[in-house]
Amino acid sequence: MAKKFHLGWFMNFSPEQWSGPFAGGGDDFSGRFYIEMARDLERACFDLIMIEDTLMVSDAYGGNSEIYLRQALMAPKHDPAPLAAVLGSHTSRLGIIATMSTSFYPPFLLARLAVTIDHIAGGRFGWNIVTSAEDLAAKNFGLDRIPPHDERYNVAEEYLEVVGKLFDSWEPDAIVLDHDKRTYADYTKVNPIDHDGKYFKVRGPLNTAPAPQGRPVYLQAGGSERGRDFAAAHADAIVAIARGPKLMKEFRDDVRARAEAHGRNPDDVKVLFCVSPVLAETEDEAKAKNLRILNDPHFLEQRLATLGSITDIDFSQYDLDRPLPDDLTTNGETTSLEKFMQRGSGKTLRQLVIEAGSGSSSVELIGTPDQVADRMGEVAEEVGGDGFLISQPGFRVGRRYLAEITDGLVPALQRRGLTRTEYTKQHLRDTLREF
Amino acid sequence: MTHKKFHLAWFLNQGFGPGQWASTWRGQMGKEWYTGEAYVNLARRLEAACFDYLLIEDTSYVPQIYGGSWDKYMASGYSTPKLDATVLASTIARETSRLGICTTMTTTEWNPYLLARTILSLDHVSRGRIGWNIVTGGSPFAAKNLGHEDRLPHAERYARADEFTDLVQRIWDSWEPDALVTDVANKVLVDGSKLHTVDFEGKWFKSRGPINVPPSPQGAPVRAQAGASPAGMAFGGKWADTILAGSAGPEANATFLQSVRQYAVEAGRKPSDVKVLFIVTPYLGDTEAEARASFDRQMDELRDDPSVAIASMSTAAGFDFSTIDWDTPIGNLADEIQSEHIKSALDGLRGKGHLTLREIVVENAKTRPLIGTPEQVADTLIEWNDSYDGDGYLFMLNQMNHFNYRALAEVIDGLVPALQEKGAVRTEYEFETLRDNLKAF
Repeated sequence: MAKKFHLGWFMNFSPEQWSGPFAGGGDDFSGRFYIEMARDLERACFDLIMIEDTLMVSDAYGGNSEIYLRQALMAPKHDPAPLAAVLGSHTSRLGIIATMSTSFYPPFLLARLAVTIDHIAGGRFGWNIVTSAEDLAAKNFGLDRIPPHDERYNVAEEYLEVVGKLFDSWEPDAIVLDHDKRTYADYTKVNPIDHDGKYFKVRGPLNTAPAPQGRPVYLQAGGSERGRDFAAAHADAIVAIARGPKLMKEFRDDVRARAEAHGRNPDDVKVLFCVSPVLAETEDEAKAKNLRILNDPHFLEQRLATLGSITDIDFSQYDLDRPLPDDLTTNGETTSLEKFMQRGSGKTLRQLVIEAGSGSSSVELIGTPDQVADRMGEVAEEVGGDGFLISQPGFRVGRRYLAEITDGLVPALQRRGLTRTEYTKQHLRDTLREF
Repeated sequence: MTHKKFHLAWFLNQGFGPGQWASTWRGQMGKEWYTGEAYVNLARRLEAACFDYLLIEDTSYVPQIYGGSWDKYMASGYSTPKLDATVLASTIARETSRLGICTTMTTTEWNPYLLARTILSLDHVSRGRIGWNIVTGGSPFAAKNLGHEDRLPHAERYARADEFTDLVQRIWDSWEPDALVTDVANKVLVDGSKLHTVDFEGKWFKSRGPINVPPSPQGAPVRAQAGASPAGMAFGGKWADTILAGSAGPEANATFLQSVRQYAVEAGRKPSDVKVLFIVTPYLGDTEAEARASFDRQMDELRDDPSVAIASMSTAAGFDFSTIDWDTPIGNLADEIQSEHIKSALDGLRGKGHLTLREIVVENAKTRPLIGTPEQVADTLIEWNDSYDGDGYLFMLNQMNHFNYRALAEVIDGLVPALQEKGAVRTEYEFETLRDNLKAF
C-alpha cells in the first residue's frame, strides 16, 4: 500500500498569468483569481497554499527596476496577510500560509495578525517565517542593509520566543462566556509576557482570543546550516529544493536528525520539496512544452533577474558564455546561490541557467499525468516523504496549468493512493500530521 | 476592417450530467457533478468572461435503444444519468449576477401553466436572466414515464408546440406590466384590476389563468430554440429570441441565417430580434500543430470505439444501430435503414452511401471544429461572422467529452481574450438582464 504524501502550492499575490496564448488578464488585485484558485486546490484536497512575499522593488539586474516592472517580476506584489484572510473566508479545509518577515514586523503585530487570521480561517493559518534577504527591503525600514545572515537567525530565534510567549499569553480557557455571571473572559488567565531580551522588549499580553490552533503552523525555508537547524527546531513544515532524489533524501534525513536532536518527533517536521511539473496529453507534447519554456527569449533574463533580486547580485554584468567568478557570494539567499552556481564546475552562466531549468524543480517531472504521478510516487518512496510544493517560474499561475495539476495530475495520484481523496481534519497542523 | 461585436454562449450539451467523469482531465468530476458544483463554477467563469448565456440541455428519460437496453448509456455516463436542468438553473441563478441561464423544458412533458410559472419564478430569482429552451419533440420513453403513449403524429408536433408557446405567453401576459404596485402608504401590494384571466381553449390545451406570479423583470423570459427543419426554422423565426444551430461552415451558416431571418420577418418581427448562434467546438493549443494533434487523437479514439456516438445516434433515430455492421458502406445495408427519418439522424446521408457507419460518426464529429491557437481560431470566428453579418457562437466541447476545467480555461483564458483584443466580443456587460444584453448588438 503506497504511503500518502502532502501537496501544497507555492505562489504569491502578484498578477496571474498575463501574457502568452492562455492568459487571463493580470490587472485585477481584488483577489478573485486567487479565491478561485484556492477553491480549486481545495477540491483537489491540497494541504495548503503558500503565499510568498518580498518587500521591495528590486533593481539588482542592470542596476535599475526595468526588467522587474516590464516582466512583472516581484512587482506588483501585494500583501499576503489580507489575501490569507480572504482565502480563509472562502475555503473550509485548505491551509493558508502567509510569508511575513522577522526583520521588519514588530513581533506583537505579527502575532496579533496571525491569531486574527487563524480565527478567520478556522484554524488553518500558517506563517512562513522569513528573515528577509535584500538590502533594498532593509532600506524601506530605515536601515542601510540587512544584518548578516547568521545574525538574522539570532534575531529570529528570539523573535520566535517572543511570539510563542504571546500566543500563550491567553490560556486556552480564558474566555468563559458565562451568562449567569455576566463574564466574558477571566483576567487571571490573561498575563503579560514581560519579555526583555537582546533584540526585543515586549510586555504583552496579546489582545486577541486564543487562536484555534494555539499558535499558527510554522513553515520555513532555509537551506543553510543555520536555516536548516532553525527549521528543525521550530517548523511544522520546511520548503526545500534539492536536486534529485538522492540529495532530497539526504536533506530530509538531515532535517529529521536535527529535529530529533532538538527533542522533537521527526514526523512532526514535514519536508516539502518544490517541483514544477510540465504536463500534456502526450509525453512528446510535454517535452515540447518544456523546451518552449526554456527557449523563450525572456526566460534567461527572467531567471537571472529573479535570482539577482534575492541575492543582491547584478547578473547582467556577467558574460552569458563564460563561467561566473569563483568567489561570488551573497548575504542574501545563500543556498539559492550555491545551488545555482555549481561552484567549481566551470560551466558558463548560460549553461547554469538552462540546467537550473525553471529554477524551482527538485526533480524533473515532464510527461502525461500518469507518467508524472508514477515518477512522484517513485521519488517519494526513495526519499521517504513528505510531500511536494507545486510552483511555477516567477510564481505565475494560469488557470490552464492549474487545471492540469488539480484535474489531471491529482486524480492520477489519487488513483495510486498517493494523495488524499478527502480531508479528515479541520486544523492545518492536524492535516499536515495526518500522514 | 471594423466589425460589429458578436455574442458568445456556452452549450452544456449533455446537461446536468457526469461530464468528463473518466477522462485524463477529470479532476473531481465524479464527485462534483451531481451536486452541481462543477456547473456553478462553469457559470461563474463564463460570467467573468462576459458570456451572454449558458444553455443547459435536458432530457428526462433513460435512453435504451442501443442494444435494446440502457446498459451502454449508463456505463458510459452518456446522456444519462441526468438531473433536472431547471433545478441547476435555480442554483446557478444565486451564484451569478449577469450571466443568462437558459434551461430546457419540453412541450410534450410539461403543461403550459406550470411551465409558465416555473420559468417566471426563475426569472425573478435571477433578476431577469432566465431563458426557456423550447424543445418540441419528446421520446416514447418519456411519454411512457408520464403514463401516456406518444401518439402525436410527427407533422402535428410544431402545431402543438405553437399553441403551447402561445398559451405560455398569454399566461405571462395575464398581469399588466404595472400591476405590482407595492404601495406601503395605501397598503396595496398588487392592483387586482390589472390582472386578467386567460380563458384559453385550443386544440390541445385549455387554461383559465391568471398566473400568481408578477411580470417578468425583463419584459418576458427569453425563448431559445434549435430546429433545423423548415417547420423548426419557422417556429424559431416566430418565437425565439435566440436560436442554436450547428455550424456547417460560413456558406451553410449564411444560408441558414437568411432563412431564419426571413421566417422572422414573415412572422412580423425584425431580423435583429432573433440572435442566431452557431455551435462550434474549439480545439485549442499552444501551437497549431498541437491543436491539430489533439483533434486527431480524439478522432482516432472515436474511430477505434464509436459505440457511444452510435448509441447517441440510436436515440436520435429511434433505431438500434448496434444491430448493423459498422464497417460496411451504408448504401449496401438492409432497406430498413434507408428510411428518411433514419437518414436524417445520420446527418445528411445523401451522397454518403459509400461511407461506413464508423466513418460517418467521425465525419459528423468533424462538422463543427475549429482547430488552432487561440489567435487563429479567433480570426476564423470573426471572419465567418463578418461574412454573413452574424450574431455569434455557442461553444460546445467535443460531444463525447463534455465538460472539463482545463478545456474551459483554454476558451476563457485563450480564445475569449483574443476575441476581446480584436474588439469582437464584450469586455463587460452592457445591461443587467439577458434580454437587454442579447439586444445590445
